[in-house]
Amino acid sequence: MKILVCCGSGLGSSFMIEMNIKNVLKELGVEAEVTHCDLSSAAGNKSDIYVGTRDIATQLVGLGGEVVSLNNMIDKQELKEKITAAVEKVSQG
Amino acid sequence: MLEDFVGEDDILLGESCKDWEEAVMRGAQPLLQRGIIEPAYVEAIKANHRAMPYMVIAPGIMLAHARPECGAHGVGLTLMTLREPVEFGSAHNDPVRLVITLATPDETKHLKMLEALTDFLMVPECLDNFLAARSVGEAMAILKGDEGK
Repeated sequence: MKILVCCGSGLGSSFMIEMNIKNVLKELGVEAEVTHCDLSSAAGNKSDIYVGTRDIATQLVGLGGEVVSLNNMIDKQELKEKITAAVEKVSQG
Repeated sequence: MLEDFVGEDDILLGESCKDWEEAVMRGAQPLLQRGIIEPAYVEAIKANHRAMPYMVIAPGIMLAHARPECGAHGVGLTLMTLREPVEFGSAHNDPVRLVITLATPDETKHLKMLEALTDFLMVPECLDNFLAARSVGEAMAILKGDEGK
């Protein structure tokens, strides 16, 4: 499973979210490849799940994967719930 | 830990800013003064924000940054609290109380710093205590984890 985190520049929030997702996946015991990039590179980076903050996420719809939209980047509970739901959906194919 | 990346000069407390542009400018000032960033970098942050307010990453928190090629020569991080919260035009996370300004000369040199920053922000008590800090010494102690844990 491939998870791509996007932000406007690919330098700040996307990396911070990537770290948090890796922690959440470890807790869940899920194996996945997690990377980050800037919004303009997202389309060329085929993934199963696309993650971004709310403003970014609207632009990730239509890339062909599940989209996870985060309201609060530092809310671990929100991240955990949304990532868990997306991972389950992708696993069920 | 975050205190390894933030000096006393990088902490600005209880600043009064009339709007988001002034807040971005003020938060970048310590990095400008040390030559870590050029004025063009601040303009690039503003342009990023005007295009999309995605850098308001959580309720009350602005992570102001731009690409290295926009005029960043080194790694830098400042933390600024606002006396009065400022509207940044974010539909869900306004108003802003903490402006974090970030600079990196390439795509990797800042990663350890971001890791420390994320660890700090993820602990709600640390953040609340920092927002309430009244002196730089107090703020530094919170970053070091001497308080709020």
